[in-house]
Amino acid sequence: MTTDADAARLELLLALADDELILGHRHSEWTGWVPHLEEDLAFSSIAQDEMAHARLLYGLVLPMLGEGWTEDRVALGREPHEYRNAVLCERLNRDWGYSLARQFLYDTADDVRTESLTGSSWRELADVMTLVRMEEAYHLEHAREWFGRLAGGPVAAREHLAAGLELALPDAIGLFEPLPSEGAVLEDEVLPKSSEAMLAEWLPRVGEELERVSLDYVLERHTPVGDLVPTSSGAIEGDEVLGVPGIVRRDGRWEHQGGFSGAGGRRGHHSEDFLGLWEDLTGLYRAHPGATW
Amino acid sequence: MDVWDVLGKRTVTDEWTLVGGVKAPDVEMALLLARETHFRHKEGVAYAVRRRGEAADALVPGTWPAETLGGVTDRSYRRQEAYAGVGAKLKRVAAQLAERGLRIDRPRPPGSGS
Amino acid sequence: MTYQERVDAFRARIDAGEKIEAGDWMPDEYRQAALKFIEMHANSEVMGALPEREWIPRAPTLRRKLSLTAKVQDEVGHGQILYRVAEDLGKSREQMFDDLVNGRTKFHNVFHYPTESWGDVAVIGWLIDGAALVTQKALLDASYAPYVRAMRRICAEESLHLRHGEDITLELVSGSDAQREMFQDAVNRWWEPIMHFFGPPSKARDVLLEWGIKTRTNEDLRQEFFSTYVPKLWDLGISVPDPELRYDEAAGEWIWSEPNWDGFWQVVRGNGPMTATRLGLRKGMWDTHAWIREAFAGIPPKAA
Repeated sequence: MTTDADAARLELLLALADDELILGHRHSEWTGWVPHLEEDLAFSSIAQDEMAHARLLYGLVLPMLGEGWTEDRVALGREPHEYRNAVLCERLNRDWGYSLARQFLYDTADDVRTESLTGSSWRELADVMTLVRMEEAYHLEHAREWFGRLAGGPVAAREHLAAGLELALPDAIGLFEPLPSEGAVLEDEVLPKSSEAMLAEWLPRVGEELERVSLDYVLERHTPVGDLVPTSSGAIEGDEVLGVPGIVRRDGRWEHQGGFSGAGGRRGHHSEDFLGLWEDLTGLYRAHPGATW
Repeated sequence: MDVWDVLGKRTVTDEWTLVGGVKAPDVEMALLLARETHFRHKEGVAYAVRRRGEAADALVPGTWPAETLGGVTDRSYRRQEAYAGVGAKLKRVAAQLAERGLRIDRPRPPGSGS
Repeated sequence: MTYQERVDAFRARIDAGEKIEAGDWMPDEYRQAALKFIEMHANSEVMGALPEREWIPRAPTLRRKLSLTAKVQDEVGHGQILYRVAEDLGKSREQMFDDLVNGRTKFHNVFHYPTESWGDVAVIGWLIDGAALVTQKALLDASYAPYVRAMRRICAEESLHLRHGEDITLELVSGSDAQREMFQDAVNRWWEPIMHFFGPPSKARDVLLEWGIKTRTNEDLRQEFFSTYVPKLWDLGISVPDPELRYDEAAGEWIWSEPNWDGFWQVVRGNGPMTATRLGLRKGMWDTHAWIREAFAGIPPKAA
């Protein structure tokens, strides 16, 4: 690591790549037992896409790390606090309603993010994003189709989907937790748009999609109320004060107010769901240093 | 739940060929699922579905372009080409292990093994 | 025509090497035998996914994580193809799945056992897929055409899986002592289930052979498995836990010790070491997600 600019780029890349790896890992845990056979195949492709995207991004990281680092060491050889994924990505799969809700929220956020990054001043990153978007388009269609079918279906289906959205929303907002060194990558336009700006773009979109299927009432349940509530995902540092996170509707648009629940991932603070994941993900790799498989 | 016949074209000039079927509640879901059920290994350049029992020309083509079928990022891990050298690798590994004296010498059919 | 005359005409078609399509007239015994055989094959693909998927989260490299995910995806895909074929013989997929998770129908013995290490992934990917491919290639000559078409696609994908499994194996046996031991240990544990896989000595009357649904005997297939894999294992310095196993050139066949068949019959009756656990997992998923089936069975939403 030679410069602050490099450090900031590394931080950005790890956030992007780790989101994809960790979520891809969770998605891949569905392979083999999704409740509908053909959907098992479709969702497994989505899982593989995410992990393949992580690989591409780790490829951009490697030259910045130098001697002794390989794709597998970056992906599977770090300590828990060195992973910079958002907490949303590490949460357990629970049931199909939750996993589908998470897929929808993540992939709409990823759409906003990758679209902006195709304009990155870092050409290689912009090119990776263009490629990635060709595959992510299917993820969006997948989420929309499933949402439409379940939300337009029997009450039980709507309720399962709503329950999933309810649980996933607070953590999803954490996808846009600002990076610690965000200022540097904004300044040189490696990151064209701030996390805050992307959140402001994403939330109204989510609101529109949910209104389309009459599930927007879920958003109303996240209005900021009362005093600060500590989250499980990391201590508040120093004099930092977070307003209670929440979603409000103003002038016909949905907006985010306050701080971030489901935050901490960008600073390497993870939830209670991460350690088990990390042990599975990295255990065999770490148990046999130097081995090839 | 309906069965949807899935049809594909290996090349642009082919006729639509029946390649399998999927179970889905509507045509959009059928197309969404057919793409990964029958075309994720680059089996074709075009795909379509048709509800079982409908007229032959009632097929509905999918809208994903040919280059997206089977993915655009590196999928070599699930393609034949990536494993083409495995037979040769077996011979090399067997030779190395023979040199280490690890080969097991028991009666076997003539000309068998690596 | 009387029923018996129709049966005789049908048998003549099969004996002449003709292939039967889904819409053709079939004797009840043929339809039942074909359905049961294909249903069990489909069940085995989806149950086989369960031991292997345990290692997707724990794969030792990113590339193997991807390739193992793709492999299990393919096994599910094979189940999808085979259930489709079975459905057209007259039983709904929902009914077949319900019967499977509630223990009323069967799946192949090898998928009733636990996995313990990455060595098991290698053994499953190479030796067990190898054993399955030996039996599956024989089905390419089966009399029922939709099954033959399904098997062509399945065999093509399985041959890729086989090379993938072989690649994983070669990394282990050419790796550290710990890695070699991992593979040898897995072979030692899986050998008996693999011998069971080919089935006990054939019965006097094999309905499946008579109707051309199966085309080779159990013994034939087991001998082919030995010839294909044992010399390679020995070349890699990996032993097999059968002290008798050797090729007898004079007899033109492999001599091997018959395993204890008790374990096989236990498993076939649904009492394997992992049977209840794995069926329980599938049943849990099936029961708790009935709301999806209900949503799918519903009236399509009106266009916006």
